[in-house]
Amino acid sequence: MNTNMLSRMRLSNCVALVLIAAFAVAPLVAHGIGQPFYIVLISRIMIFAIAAIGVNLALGYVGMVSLGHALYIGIGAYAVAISLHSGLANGWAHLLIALAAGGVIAVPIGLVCLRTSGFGFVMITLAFSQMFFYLAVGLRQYGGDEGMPLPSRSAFFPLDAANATTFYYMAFFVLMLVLLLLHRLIHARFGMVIRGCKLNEARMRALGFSTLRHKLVAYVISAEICVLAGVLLANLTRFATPSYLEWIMSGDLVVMTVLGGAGTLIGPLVGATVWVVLEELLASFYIDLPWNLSEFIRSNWTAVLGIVIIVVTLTLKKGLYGFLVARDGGVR
Amino acid sequence: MSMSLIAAQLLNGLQLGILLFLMSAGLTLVMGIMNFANLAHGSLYMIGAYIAAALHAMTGSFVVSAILAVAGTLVVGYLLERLLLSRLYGVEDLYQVLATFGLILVFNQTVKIIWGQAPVFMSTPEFLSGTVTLFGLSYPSYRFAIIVAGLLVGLGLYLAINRTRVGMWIRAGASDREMIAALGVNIRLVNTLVFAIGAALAGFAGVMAGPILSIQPGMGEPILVLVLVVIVTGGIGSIRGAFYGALVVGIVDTIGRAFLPAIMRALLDPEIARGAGPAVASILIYVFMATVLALKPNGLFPAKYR
Amino acid sequence: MRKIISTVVVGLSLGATTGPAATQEPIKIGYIGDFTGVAGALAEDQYEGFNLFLEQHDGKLGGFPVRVIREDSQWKPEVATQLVEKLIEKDQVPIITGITGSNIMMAVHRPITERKVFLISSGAGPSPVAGKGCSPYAFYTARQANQISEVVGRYANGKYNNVMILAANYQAGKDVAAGFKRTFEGTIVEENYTALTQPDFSAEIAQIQVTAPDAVFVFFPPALGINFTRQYHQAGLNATIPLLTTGFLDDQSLPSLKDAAVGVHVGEFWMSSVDTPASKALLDAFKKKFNRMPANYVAAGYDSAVLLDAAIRRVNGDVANQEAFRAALKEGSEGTTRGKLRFNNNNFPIQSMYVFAAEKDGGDYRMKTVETFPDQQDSYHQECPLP
Repeated sequence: MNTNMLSRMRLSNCVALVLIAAFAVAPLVAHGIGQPFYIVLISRIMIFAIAAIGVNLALGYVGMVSLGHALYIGIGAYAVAISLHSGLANGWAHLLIALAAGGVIAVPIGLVCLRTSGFGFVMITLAFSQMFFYLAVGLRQYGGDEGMPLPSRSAFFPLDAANATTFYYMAFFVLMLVLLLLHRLIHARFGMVIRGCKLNEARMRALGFSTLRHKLVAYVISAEICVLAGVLLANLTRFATPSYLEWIMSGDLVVMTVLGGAGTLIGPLVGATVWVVLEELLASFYIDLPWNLSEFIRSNWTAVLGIVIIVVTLTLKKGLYGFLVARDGGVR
Repeated sequence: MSMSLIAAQLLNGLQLGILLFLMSAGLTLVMGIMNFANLAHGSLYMIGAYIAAALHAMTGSFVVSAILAVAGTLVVGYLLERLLLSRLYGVEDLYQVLATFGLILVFNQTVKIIWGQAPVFMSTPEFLSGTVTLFGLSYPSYRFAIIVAGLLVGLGLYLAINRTRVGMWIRAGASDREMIAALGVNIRLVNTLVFAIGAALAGFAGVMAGPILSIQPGMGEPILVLVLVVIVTGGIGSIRGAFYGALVVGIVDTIGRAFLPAIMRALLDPEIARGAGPAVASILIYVFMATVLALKPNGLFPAKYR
Repeated sequence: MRKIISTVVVGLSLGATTGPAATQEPIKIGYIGDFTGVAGALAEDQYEGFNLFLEQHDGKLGGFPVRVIREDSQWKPEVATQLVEKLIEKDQVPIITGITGSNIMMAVHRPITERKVFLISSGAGPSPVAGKGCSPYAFYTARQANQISEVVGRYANGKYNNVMILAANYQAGKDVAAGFKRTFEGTIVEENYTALTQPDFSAEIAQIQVTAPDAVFVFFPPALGINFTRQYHQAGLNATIPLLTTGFLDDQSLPSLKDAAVGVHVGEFWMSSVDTPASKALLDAFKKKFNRMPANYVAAGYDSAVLLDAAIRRVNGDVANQEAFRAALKEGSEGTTRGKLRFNNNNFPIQSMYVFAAEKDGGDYRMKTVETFPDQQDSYHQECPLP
């Protein structure tokens, strides 16, 4: 029975390792089969995964469901765009500016938002991100609602970000870094406290923890992770647009997180991968099926996606990866 | 800026508020009782509008198509709750929300398959197509009809919830679910009932909005956001909160749109004001909500006793 | 492990691999449209126009078989850039057409033209890509966004002195308002912009009544514009303050607007009353297939296929020869719905612009041509460095 348990425990870990290894070698495979396009696609998956991991820190571990993290993606993207626009090409400077701006904005917003809880928190985070969305729409000199193309990618000396494979590994490195950071964080005392807050905040307060301070730190870290994703996204698409700040983006991130499994380390990565791959497969569905079915799927792919979501929630209940973790006995 | 314009704009705000109230009333109770946000509530509004438009084109009678459309959304709401959402009550609430998000995608695409991508239109009923002159401005009589019908429904709802036994269960369920279940009331049955009535109200709002707006896939989402604003500012689970919240949101939104740009033009450089005016008017409602929540995290009229 | 990876990769590529390779390799054409999202109806029209020409010609352009790879950019710029990568890197298309939204155009213009892939827009034509940002590899078969309102300003001159402007608060709204202001010589008494998500205009309509201008110029995206027109009519204002507009009132929306639209004047580059042989043919074919009237995006989509047909014929199917193909496109084409399609230095059409008005003819409603302004160039072409 012991060995049985062990082998079952490994399943979620195995999936995690396989997935990460797949990301690590994907560019080689893509070049190998002569389809370097997949490097760009998977870069996009990783960027969304990074953002979803950020969302997950607040949502999965602290129980703060934010519908406003697109705001921080926008801050990352616009920090890059506005810097490049004013002639500053250094990517490291962009990173610094973006993180600083993210911090300056996330701390006060977090303080206000944390006065609320539950659904109030969802809506107040939405409110703040909508304010910044309209601000971005109003930035006429930076393209307004039509967005702003970037003249080039950020210059991350000595790396050549313009090269798709180099950029891929930069995103991969950030992804690994963020996963590692999160792993360390949730297993440290800090992680115990924030997870305690999710279960019973009053008890944590009674035990003498400053729950507000812990929750604020978690909120700011999760925001800064999304800022990183924003910096990468602007560089990947070479474009900054208010639609990065739209609540739909926040919603998509929550969906990816929850679909993969909220409160698990790898869940958001699984969720982002499945989400983007499904979108890609369904929207350009070219497998021949009888009764003109493939044409039907192609033009109604959003409905198919909706059905997948409903089926996953009905059957797996804890998300794709969350299901595996629960099956393995709840070890996260 | 004349008094008559202010009065007219207040009336416009009231009319938007009434529509929002119809949408919020059912949803706030479901959120209070079952503790999760049904994102597909906006889809029920859309379905109500589509059914009414289709029936109106077929029968030519506004009243008949309105009644049938409300009945239709009631049935859709009932089936939705019985067949799908009731299976999700054991699941974490976030996953319930996720499922309703999936539902939005399915509903939007379904109406697109049935009625097409292009907007559908519903004409104003003949007997309400005129205008009334009010404060020196002409005002469509149909908008008056919305206000009157909405107030009547609101009154009926108030009586049903405050004067009947089922209403008492609903109020109790929204403030303390465990307690009322312990008292032997079938909370699930109450919830199905509330859900179906909430759906019918959303459908009714869709019917009333039909002649004013274009009916198209996805029309439920923008109004859903406003409805959620109403619910959290009013206080989740509170009908009274939903009513006042809806009126305040409707009026703040309308008055902001109507007067803020002009005020800003008077105070600021015209070029800057022209750029910033609409942006400020659009975020006004969010500033309002953030302020309310920062000061009163449980909303203006909290229903929960904690 | 390697096996798993390769399965993943094969799975990925399977979904997107093309059908069986034909003996004669068809010319690949990427098609990007915002089929999902607020502009869905426009995108469908645009695609149907393009597709109608293809169907009439056995799926051939210039006598050569083509394979159209249709993609949905969902009104999301980041999805659109992703699709461009896919179409160019994976499918290796030499031509990308479609493009519905201006924001999508801004996101894809540079990634496409930088790699010397041809961009034939049958929809969006925002000002930045008409002026300094113009490219020899981008061609447009609809219009520059400001043109449709410039013609309304010209029309209004001498007829109205005080005009109020009301538009949605987004770039296209501001561009269109700017176009009107550029050509209108009277006084703009008030200028108001509304949020793009706002569907109800009761507050603005009350404002118009109080301001009491000689006429109102309004611009909104299609569904909102129709909302506005109906609400304006419900408030009984059509009779007192004339409505000037562009962009949403056409043969297609008229049947649902009916009386609400009568008397409203619209600036456009095409409607079915435009008198060319191709217009008539398109009208008949479209009505027969869809049982409704075509809108201008159908015409622009159709004309993009006519243009490609002519250009591909000129280079005898050799679209890989970029210089020759570029020259072939630049020559324009006969037989479009607007007669001969001619390109300006910035590759936007030099074309007639019209003001149409909705009128009631017995029980029928139709759009009639009120005034024609021939040989109109857009206002940004001088900023474009191309010869």
